[in-house]
Amino acid sequence: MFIHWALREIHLKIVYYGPGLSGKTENLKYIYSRIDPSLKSDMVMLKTREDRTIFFDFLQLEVGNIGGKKPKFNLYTVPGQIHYDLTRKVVLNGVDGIVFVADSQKEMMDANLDTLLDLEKHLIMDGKSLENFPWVLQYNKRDLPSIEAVADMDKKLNLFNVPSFEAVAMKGTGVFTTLKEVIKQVVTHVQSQLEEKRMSA
Amino acid sequence: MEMANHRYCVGTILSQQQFEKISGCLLDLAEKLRVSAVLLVNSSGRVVTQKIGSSWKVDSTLLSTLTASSYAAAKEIARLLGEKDNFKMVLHEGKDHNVYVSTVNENFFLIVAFESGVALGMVRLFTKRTISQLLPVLSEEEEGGIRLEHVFDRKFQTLLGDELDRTFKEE
Repeated sequence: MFIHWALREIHLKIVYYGPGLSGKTENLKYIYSRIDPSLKSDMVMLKTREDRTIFFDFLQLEVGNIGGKKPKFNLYTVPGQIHYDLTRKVVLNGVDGIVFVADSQKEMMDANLDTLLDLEKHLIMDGKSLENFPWVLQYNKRDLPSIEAVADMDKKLNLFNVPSFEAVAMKGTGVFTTLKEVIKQVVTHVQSQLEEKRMSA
Repeated sequence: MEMANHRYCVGTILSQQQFEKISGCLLDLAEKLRVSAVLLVNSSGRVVTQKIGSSWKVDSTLLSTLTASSYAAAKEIARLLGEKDNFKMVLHEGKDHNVYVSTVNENFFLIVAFESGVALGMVRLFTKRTISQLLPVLSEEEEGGIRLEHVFDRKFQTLLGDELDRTFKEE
């Protein structure tokens, strides 16, 4: 989080994390396609020749003036492929909230869990943890055949009972619901931290 | 509790007074060097302030985001090589345009974009002086009278929720 008080701007960083091809970039593409041009930056996509994310995708969103303050949401994706471990660490720097985009296909359950553990590893290195950090789960690709039941995905991935959403990111289903919830989680988290600080003062 | 103190402290909030002092330092640097643009950016890639020439047409949000990421990548490269701190500077050198990136402190760095006619030595010399002026300003611990609990009060959350519903609508 960064607050530029002279400009009344509040910057929050949201990172979309998940295994390769789970639909992180598709989330940002849909958001970009649906937002008024005056409220968004250009979308940056750093890709390989094979159209896979090599570093990150980026999109900045605004929602106008909120009680005299201007929140800006900086959305990033990470490269999902296993060998980009250090790149994911770089992108997570300064993160305020995370959307974990899980692939609902049955054969992807191991990859989902491995990536979630990889995320936890990076958070712990930065003094955070999935247990006390604002994040949400998105179960993507719900339109495909041979998908895992939501209850089973919850059992395998939703280790801390965070909000979870079904989605078909390519069609936009569940994309904004997920984004709104992670922003809400971030703001609630900041408020609870401030409350803790006040109580301990 | 330690985590909360760590995350929302110096470097998180920039007061009006700090902003004005920083703007003065950057204006001074931009005028001395006659460069295309000078930007102070935080480690997440957010522009704190910038001084740009009249011909500057570049999207500063994208420039700062990309630079912050390449800068963070350079930090990891330094670590891999066993360099104790991050590289002191990163230079992108082109035929006509150059970008010089220099560490200010743990949370901030400076981007100087300049054309080929400007000597790199001059850029390095004056940037170093500017950084020494910026350091005490950025380490000021007072928050300029800003109380975070007033920024993130219940009213803010309600208004934000309403605005998000209005702006982020699925088909």
